[in-house]
Amino acid sequence: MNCQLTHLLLAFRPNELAADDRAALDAHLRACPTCAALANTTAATDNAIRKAMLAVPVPDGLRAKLHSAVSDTQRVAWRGKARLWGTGLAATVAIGLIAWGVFETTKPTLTSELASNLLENERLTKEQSVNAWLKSKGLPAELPEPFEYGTHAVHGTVPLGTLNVPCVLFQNDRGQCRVYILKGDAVRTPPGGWKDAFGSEYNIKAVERGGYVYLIAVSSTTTLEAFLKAAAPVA
Amino acid sequence: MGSPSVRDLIDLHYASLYRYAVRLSGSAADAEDLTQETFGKALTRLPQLRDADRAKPWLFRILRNEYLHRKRDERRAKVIPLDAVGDQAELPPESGFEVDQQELQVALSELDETFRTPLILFYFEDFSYRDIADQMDLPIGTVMSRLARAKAYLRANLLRPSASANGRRPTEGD
Repeated sequence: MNCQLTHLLLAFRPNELAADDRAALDAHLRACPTCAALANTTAATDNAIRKAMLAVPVPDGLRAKLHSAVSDTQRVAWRGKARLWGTGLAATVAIGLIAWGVFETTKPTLTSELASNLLENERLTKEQSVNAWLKSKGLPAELPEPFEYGTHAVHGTVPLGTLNVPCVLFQNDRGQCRVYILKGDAVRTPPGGWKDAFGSEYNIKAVERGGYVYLIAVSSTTTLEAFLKAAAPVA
Repeated sequence: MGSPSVRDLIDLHYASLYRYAVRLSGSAADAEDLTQETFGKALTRLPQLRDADRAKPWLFRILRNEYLHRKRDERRAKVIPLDAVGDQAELPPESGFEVDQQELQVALSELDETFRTPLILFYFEDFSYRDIADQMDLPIGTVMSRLARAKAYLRANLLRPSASANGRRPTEGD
């Protein structure tokens, strides 16, 4: 080992050197007074600097302070988690309450007035629908009787004998009222009693208007008046 | 060794970490903050510590990163360009020396952090070149080179024969 390599190895701590290098270094230091002096001086200066480097007074109470800080951090973390859970729960409850509140404040209250309006709207809609359909068929836009459209069930073209004729069907819990619309010259069935294909009996009333005959067939179990608007009270 | 708790780590390493922080930052107040911050981060990152025997370098690394984070935007007022310092400063011939605490800290503070950190870790004894290289994410050769220059700088600026060696302390007039 030469002096240059010795200077390099002196930078290491002895325990960081391989056994071979350490043995070679020791052998060189025994044989070379210059390098031995350098080694001694290096060790002494390192020791002096190390001693000074580590001579930092540690404040009393630092350890307790650190433990306390860790406790605080853990407490805050737990509080944060609890708050997170709490916030989630509160948010869920709040959303539920808001939704319930919105529903409660906006849900329709079924007052008698509202019910009446709704029924009227439904009547108008059905009546308007029937009238529009009649008009589309080239028929008078209104039926000849003031029907209560709350009892309207369906309308369309149905077979009657050998003919397909427009028909409006009303129904209540006691029976039906069918309004067949025919051209005046097509009527062969005189007013009176009539049975349908299922044997149900009907009372027939014929009303002529605008060149058409309206055959109004009412189940024998009920009356025509049950399908008409109630007459306005006499003032 | 089983998985240590942060409280275990405090008991084992708080003094070393604080001393390291003092030497790194040059301020006792900053050192306390850094030490506390280090254990605070250790608390949240403890699952990342796979080898309990490596807890000390792990904590030192956290502390250094925290220090660098704080200093990232700061401009050092004075940095000694160590390229101008020789690898081997001439050593005093005597074997007994003493180092003034205040001067040591001033000298350390004048060093760039890339030289200061390996120097401090080297004198904390527990850290090998390999440990220091790992701490700083540097090749071991780079660590050795920086350490040699930093030590030469310290020797040249700090060392003087102790009273026991030459009979008296050197004065300003010497």
